[in-house]
Amino acid sequence: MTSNNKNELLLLSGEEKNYAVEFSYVTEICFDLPISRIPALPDGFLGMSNYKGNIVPIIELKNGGAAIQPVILIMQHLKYQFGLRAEAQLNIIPAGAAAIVQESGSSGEDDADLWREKGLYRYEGKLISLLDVERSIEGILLL
Amino acid sequence: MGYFDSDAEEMLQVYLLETRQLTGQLSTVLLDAEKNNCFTQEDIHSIFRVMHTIKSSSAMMGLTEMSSMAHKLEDLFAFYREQNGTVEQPKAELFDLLLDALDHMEDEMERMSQEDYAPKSTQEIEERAAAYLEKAAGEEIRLPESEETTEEEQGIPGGLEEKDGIVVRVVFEENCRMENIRAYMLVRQISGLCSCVETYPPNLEKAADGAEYINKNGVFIRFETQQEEDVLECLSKGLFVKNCEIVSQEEKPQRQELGQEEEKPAARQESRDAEFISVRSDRLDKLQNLTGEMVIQMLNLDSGLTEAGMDDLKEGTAYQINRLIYEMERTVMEIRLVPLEKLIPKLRRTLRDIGREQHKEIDLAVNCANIEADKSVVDLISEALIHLIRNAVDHGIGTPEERLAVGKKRRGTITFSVESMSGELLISVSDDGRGLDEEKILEKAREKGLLNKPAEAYGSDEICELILQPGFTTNQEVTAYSGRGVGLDVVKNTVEEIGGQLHIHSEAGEGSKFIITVPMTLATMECTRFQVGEYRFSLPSRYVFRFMDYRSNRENIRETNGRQYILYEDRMVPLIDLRKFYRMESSAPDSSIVIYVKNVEKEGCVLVDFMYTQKRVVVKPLPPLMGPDFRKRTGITGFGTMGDGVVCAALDPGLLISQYEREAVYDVQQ
Repeated sequence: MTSNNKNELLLLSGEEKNYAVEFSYVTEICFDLPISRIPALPDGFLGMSNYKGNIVPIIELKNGGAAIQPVILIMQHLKYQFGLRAEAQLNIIPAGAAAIVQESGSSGEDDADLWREKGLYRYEGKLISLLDVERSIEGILLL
Repeated sequence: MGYFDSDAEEMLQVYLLETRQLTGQLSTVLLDAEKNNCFTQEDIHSIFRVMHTIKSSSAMMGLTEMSSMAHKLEDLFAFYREQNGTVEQPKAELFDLLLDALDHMEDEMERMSQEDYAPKSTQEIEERAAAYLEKAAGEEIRLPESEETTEEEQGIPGGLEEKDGIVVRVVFEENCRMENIRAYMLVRQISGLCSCVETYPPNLEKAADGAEYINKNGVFIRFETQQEEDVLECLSKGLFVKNCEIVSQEEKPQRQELGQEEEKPAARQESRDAEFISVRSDRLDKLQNLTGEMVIQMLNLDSGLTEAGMDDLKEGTAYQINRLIYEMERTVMEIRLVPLEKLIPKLRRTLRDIGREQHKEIDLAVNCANIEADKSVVDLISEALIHLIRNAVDHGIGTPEERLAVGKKRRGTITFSVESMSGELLISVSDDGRGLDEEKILEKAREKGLLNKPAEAYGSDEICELILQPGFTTNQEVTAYSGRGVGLDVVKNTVEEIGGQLHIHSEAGEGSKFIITVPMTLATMECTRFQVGEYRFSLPSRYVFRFMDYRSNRENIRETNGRQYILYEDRMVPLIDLRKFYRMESSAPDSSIVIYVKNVEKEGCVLVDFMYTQKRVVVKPLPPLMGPDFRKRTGITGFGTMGDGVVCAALDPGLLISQYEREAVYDVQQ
């Protein structure tokens, strides 16, 4: 990880959909983190994991990548820590390398979705939804 | 770097520790004096000494304003000291002055560690102090000779020359500051070479006022040694030492070899020092976290050894390591224990201030014996208790006239009491005031749309709980202390965050009682662990009283209003089938076990598939992302880690049973 991770995006390329997150929110990329099922969790929550002594909720990001190795991104914003599980191939690109196609709110995002988007971007011919981590956390807290 | 230069910054933590101890003493003296309406001779001496020490140590740290303020107050109490009497019926103005000075010092100390710290002006307090002294003294203000300046420079003080050994006078470079600490370091350096070391001034590391004396006169060190040259060289080459001269040298008989177990003042002092040391609380937190992680890893190891069939190792070395970790964990927990009594001065001060503001007369009755709890628990509930005290005064206790009008005593009483029971603290704040006005609460709740059933259907306990909602207040106006409705919900959240609960009992016209139950420690706890379906759970073992066979007790189960109850002893208690409660699809097997649980307020039974062995578990609080209501809706209060790394849901029986009684299943959403 370089000191420029504020200006980098982590691409999550799935079979059906591509996402990106600002790399500054990513604490660690884990491949083998066991997830324990816990009852009474909101929809979209897969369970809890023990991450270095902290119990973090793991939330699914569906991107139709069943054939791809699942990965869990441990993310943090302020006091909120969680794991984002996706079946995706990972790639890091400079933030400026992706061109904006559409701002957030205009893509008709479903209020039922856990994940909020900052906007749609295009990179190397692929359409990428940039996740808005902060708004997503706000939405989760309202559940 | 901030306000302090590098030298002073090194000493900042020591300065803060010592000064906080002094301000703590001062607070106690002032509140007692106000209560007794009199400053005794001892009080006057104490306040003088506190101000004198703060004056010197603040000056050393370059805190000229604080030093100057302490100096003015020292002058005031020097005057009283000279009178050699007591101060009967001191004016309220004097208490206000001293408490304002105390608040100022505490506020400054809170900010001192910040990068952008800048001292606030003390001019107003100093002017008030000078004016008060002028009024009290009349015409002239005489300063007393301070103890250090009465010492003569030409003789060797402290009677050192009358004893055996060599006496040297060490003078430090000008402006080196903290001369007493520097002298102390010198003494420590030579202690190993000497059979005896004594100094004047004595108690160098504790008496910050010695620095002034040493700055003027040097420090006198008497030592006895067979390595005279080494000691002298060590002293001469000491840090910031300007000069080291022998002022007295006695012929001494050949000493016994070093290691003689005679009474040695330096050794005695060192062994006294070893009785108590100050430890930074963040280091204690780290130690506790590490111990917690060791417990988890030991659970993993135990499981691994069992799976590998290595019973010999498990019963042998692993068992011994487990015992040692247990001892270490207990020791760490004991280190972290602080007495609940330490909360009293702050509570008394809050009560005093708000009582004066609202012209109410209130006594604080305290009953907490010698009960101790984990420092983090005590720190967390401290603010919660202050809210409760404020609430009791603002809403509960009336003015003397109001109280007399209803046949009560003029002075109200707030009682703070603490009990410990089965690893929990029960802390209550009760008052003999008006009690909760249920009608008013219901009306307000109706206005705010908080009622989810007809008002008549609300029981007393439920009405009391309404006041814990955010923003709820029946105050028509906002006072400095309450009325914004941010007090009680903060208390509730704070308590629940550490796995505790808040209960309210009230009787109109008689008073109210707020009871907080919290665990005594936030580290590990003995847990009863079990599985239901694919999920794993734990319950604190202190709440588990009995296990029963489901199959043979099936005939004792009845269903009423969609809830199951089971016969336990001579009564029907709720039976919570966790499968149904958590909306799982499968059914409980015949081989299920019924666990009877009971806490302060609730009792019931829980139906589980099978049990794991009881273990100490590190229960971590709910992640913030779960939101503030998850606990209450689901009965899950935290998460623990099993030996195989699986995360289990830690249940709170009280919350579980409450939710079951309300809705029979967990609440999916608000």
